[in-house]
Amino acid sequence: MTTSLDLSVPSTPSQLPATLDFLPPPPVIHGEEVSGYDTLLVRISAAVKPVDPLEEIWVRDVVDLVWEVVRLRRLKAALMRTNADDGIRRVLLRCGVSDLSGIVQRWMVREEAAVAEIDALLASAGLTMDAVMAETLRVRITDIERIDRMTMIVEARRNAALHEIERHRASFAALLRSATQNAESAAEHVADAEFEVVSPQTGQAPPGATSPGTMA
Amino acid sequence: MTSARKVFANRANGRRSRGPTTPAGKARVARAVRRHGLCLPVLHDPALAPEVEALARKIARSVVGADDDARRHELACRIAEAQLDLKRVRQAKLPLVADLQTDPNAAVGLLRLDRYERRALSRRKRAIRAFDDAALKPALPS
Repeated sequence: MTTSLDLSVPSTPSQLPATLDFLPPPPVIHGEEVSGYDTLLVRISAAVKPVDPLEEIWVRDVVDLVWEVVRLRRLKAALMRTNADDGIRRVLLRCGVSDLSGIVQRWMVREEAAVAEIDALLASAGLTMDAVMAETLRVRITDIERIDRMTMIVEARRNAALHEIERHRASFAALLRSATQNAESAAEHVADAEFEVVSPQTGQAPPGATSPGTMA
Repeated sequence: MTSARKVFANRANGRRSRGPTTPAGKARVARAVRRHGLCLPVLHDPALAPEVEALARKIARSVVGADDDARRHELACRIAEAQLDLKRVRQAKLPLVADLQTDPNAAVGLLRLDRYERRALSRRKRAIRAFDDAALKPALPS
C-alpha cells in the first residue's frame, strides 16, 4: 500500500514568529530540517540587521536563495549517486564484463563483496570510480545541466539581492547625510541669529573687550 | 531611412512574436492563465488588495513623511504588488521543488515558472529604486 505524502510540506513548522506575512513561507520541503532554515535566517538577520521592511524582504530573499543553492547541490549529488548503477553497468559492459546479474544491485546497497569485486574489475581495466561517475554524468547530462542552470540563476539572484541591500543602504546613508547637513545649517542660522554683531555705541566699550569679529 | 536589412529583420522578428495563430495554439495560451494564474497581476484577485495596501503602508512608513506623500505611496504600492506576485510564484514553485527529489524532470516545470519570478523581481527592483529616488530627491540639495 502506498501512502500519499505532500513533499512540499515540511515535517515540523518553523519555530520563528510569523510576523512578516508579506513574505513567502519558508521554502522548506519534506525531508529538510526546518530548524536548519531557522538558524540560517537568524544568523543572516543578525549579521545584516535589517532596519526597514525592504531590507527584511531582501534578507529573506538571500536566506531563501542560499537555502535553494544548498538544496540544488544536494539534489545534484543525489542524482549522481542514485544513477551510478547505470554508469557502472555501462563501464563494465565496455570492459567486456557481460554477466552483471545482481552484482550492480548489490554494489548499490554497498554490499562489501560486491564493492570489492567491482573495484577489482575496474582496477583490472585501469579505471577508477571517476570513470563510473563520468559515465553517470554522460547519461544524466540533461538533468544535471538543468540543475546547474537553476543553481546559476539562484546564485545570480542572491548576489543581486546583496547588491540591492548595498545600494539601498548607500541611498539611505545619502539621505541621512543630507538630513544631517540640513539640520546643521539650520542650527548655524539659529546661532547666527543669536550672536548677531551689534555695532559698538560711541566708543564706550569696557577696557579689554574685543569685538565679535576678532573671536576665533 | 530604415535600411532594407533592418526592415527584413523587423518583419522576421514581428512574425515570431505575434503569438499563436492557430485556434489550437490560442486555446493553449488561454488555458495557461487558468493553470497557475501567475500571468495575472496580484490586484486581479480582490482578496489580495488589502494585503497590498497593508504592505505598501508599512513600506511608506519606513521613510519619514512618505506616508502622506501620494506619489511615494503609489511607488510603495508598486513594490508591494511585485512582492506579493513574487510570493505567489514562490508558493507555486514549492511543490515542484519537492518533486525534484524524486523526478528530475520537475526541473522543466521549475524553469518554466522561473520567468514569472524573474519578472516579479525585476518589477520589484525598479519600484524600490524609484521609491528610494523619490525619498532622496526632496532631501538632497538640487
